[in-house]
Amino acid sequence: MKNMSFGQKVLTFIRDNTVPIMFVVICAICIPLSGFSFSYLLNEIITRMGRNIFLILALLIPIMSGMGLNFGMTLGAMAGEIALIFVSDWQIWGIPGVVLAMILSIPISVLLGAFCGKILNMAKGREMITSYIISFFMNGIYQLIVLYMMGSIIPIKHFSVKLPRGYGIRNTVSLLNMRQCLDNLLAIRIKGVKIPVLTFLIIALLCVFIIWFRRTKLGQDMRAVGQDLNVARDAGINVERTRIISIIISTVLAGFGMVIYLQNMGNIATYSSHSQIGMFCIAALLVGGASVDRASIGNVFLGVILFHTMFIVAPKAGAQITGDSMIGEYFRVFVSYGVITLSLIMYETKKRKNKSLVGQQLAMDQLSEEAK
Amino acid sequence: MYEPLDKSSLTLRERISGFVNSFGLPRLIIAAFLLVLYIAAPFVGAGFWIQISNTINRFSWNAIMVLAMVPMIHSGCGLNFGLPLGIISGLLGATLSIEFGFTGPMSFLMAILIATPIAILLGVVYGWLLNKIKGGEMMIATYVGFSSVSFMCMMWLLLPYHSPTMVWGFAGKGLRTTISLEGFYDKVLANFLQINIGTLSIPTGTLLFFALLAFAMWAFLHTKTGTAMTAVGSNPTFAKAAGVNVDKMRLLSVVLSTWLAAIGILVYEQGFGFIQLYMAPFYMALPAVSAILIGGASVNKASIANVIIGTFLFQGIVTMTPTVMNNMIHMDMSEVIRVVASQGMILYALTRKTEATK
Amino acid sequence: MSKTRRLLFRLGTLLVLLAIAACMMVVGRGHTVFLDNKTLEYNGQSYPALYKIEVEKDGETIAKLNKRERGKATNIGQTFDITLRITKEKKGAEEEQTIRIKLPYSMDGIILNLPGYLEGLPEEAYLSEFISSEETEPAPEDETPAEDEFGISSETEEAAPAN
Repeated sequence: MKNMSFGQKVLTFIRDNTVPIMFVVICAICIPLSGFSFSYLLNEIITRMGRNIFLILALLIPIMSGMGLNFGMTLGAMAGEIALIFVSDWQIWGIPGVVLAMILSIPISVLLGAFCGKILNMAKGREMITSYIISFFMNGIYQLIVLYMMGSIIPIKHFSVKLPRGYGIRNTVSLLNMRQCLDNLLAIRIKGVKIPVLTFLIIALLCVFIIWFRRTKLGQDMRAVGQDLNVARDAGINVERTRIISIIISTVLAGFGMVIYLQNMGNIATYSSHSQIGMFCIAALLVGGASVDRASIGNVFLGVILFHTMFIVAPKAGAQITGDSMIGEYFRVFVSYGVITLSLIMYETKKRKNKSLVGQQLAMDQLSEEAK
Repeated sequence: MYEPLDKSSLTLRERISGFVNSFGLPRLIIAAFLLVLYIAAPFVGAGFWIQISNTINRFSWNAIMVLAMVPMIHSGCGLNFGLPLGIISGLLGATLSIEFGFTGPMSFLMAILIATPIAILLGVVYGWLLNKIKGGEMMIATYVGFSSVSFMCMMWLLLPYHSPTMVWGFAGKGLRTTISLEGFYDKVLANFLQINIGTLSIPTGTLLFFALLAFAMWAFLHTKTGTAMTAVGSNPTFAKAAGVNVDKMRLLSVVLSTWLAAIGILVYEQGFGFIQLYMAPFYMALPAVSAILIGGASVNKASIANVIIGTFLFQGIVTMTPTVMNNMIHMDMSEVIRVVASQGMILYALTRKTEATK
Repeated sequence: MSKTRRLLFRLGTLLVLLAIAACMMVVGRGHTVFLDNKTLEYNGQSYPALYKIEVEKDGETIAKLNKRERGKATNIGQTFDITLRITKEKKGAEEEQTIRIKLPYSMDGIILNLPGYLEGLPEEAYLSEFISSEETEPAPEDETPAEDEFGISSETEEAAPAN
């Protein structure tokens, strides 16, 4: 590395950070075109950082244990929503409501996470597609519970939550009484930019937890499992259990993240809030320069800033260029999917390249052995 | 697998468990569920023959898209979650054929003719990509599908279409989300030799068209190239040793699959009567994938029989659950049942067999 | 860590969480309080509405009630603290009074009759439940849900086979 020329260094840097650089370019083009003021943009991005970062951090631990991007974080989001539905049925407001929802979401998340982890253990080598399908499958179960069982089997009383027909939950559940209660407590305003200090403190706490967790025995085990399943197993690590725990932690964190997300939004779209959340969190993480097998807290922050800047400015910029606001909307959706596709392709090609390198190395070694 | 020589010496229980194992428990549940629905249908006032016609009708619309799964499964590329890419080629064919002013049955033929080169082109690129990332096909296929659909969302707005039947009236540009096929190829296949007995109606033309393609696929799989393709899927190392060009076979299977998806969506449209653009193709891969799995295919094994049985079972559930369940318990749980059954089936298939062939 | 210690630790965590949850259930119960400045009939006696009451909660004026008017406040928890600035008659002197009312846990909406309370009547006289029904309060469906602009509607999900 040291004896590379400056030009080579630049090239490697660009190659290793293709996606973030691409996004910086997109943002640099779109921001002036969109015509948004700087303070407006800053305000929006800070709001979205507070809203989304916790959710995205939930993705880090499965990546560490080599299970790829956890599309099953949707399950945690569902747990958070179910908890919030109960809390608003009981009319618990404000911060106590948020805390209660988080505590309530834990058992549901643990259950769903354990289920997800078990299934992923049966589908080693294709965790991502499996977790992706699990999120669809669970969406069906979620509908069954929320639309048919709540109010008929599971007691739900409050008219603002229950459908007039007597069972099932309304399309939107208002969280007006806990709207932004975390964000507003201790919030400070600097030149019209609101900074939700408490939310950021919670996020900081989670970051510290993740850094600490990496150093614990369990965290080390997970990294070993992520490096090589068989080696880890030979070293006496219970691989299956470690993987399940990693998914459970991710699901629980996603549940908390969803509660934070929804208290900021101020209402739950009961049947759709969770459906896209996994995919947008993953896109944001990848935009920050993470890959399927390597992601850091820095990637999360950079990703949220870049991805959401693009999300805010794209429709306006698209309208400026083409005269049709829908173009921008479709453009940002396309870019989100495109980024995930690109990252997946880069990861797989890299994996294959490494594999063939190892193979060549083995063959060379054998040859030299024979020559002796 | 445990294969007893003398079946008579087995107890009933062993025989049942053997049957369940070979048939697959989820599949059995789904088949039994459908059977119950058919039996219950007349009792709850849903006309039996109407239900049968509906199922056959929907079978005829969807079967070719399910058939499109076969080649890629055979060559070891796994389930084609990238079906939307082929569907896009079909949609381009359909819209271009109308744009160029073709009407009636001719527009259908032209749609196929225009869609074919596009499908082949996209299929080659897609196949080349899948050859680069062997082992991770399914996830990447999913996202290739998604990206292409969202990319085309922009294109439907930007491409210079002018035909007044297709563009938004007030803006004069940008395609509508749904385009009626009346006067074009609405039901061209279905009305061909259609059989009507009482309330039962059979779209013979569409079924024949499917039979033709299915037979061609069957025949192809028995040619030298076809067997080579299957060999690539079941044992790539052996195939390579036998002198088969693995990458070329995989590429061919992807192109075939993409082309069949393009034809499949055109047949679907002629039955349905509308072209659906924008986000409509987004999740179209999932029903096709679960249908073939319900029919008995696995991630690396599929036959024409799987396609037929699977499409029939899947479409049977889709058509029967809303009416029968509604009449029976006055709750429309069809959506939930469909999602749980189809996604559950895909999950089941993904967790079987420890590793996909690479 | 020994097995028993680990078990104890887990049980402890569980208990702490349960305790916090129970606390939150009590502390966080929200109520909508309706404050009435209306004439109250109780045991055959009449307690007339006052000329003007200003209600202040947490340093903010939440209502200025003339005769026969109703104000609305929200409260988290069962202690309801407000400051009243009361003008009994027109051009009369203003007097300030801080009051604390215990709210019953089970009621969502509570009507407080201020003249009755200020006369020192028992709870059953000045406090009554506000029965909210869909007619009196708009159903939440009327609100447009705030979107995070995450594009794609989920309705397209598997739209193909259902039609």
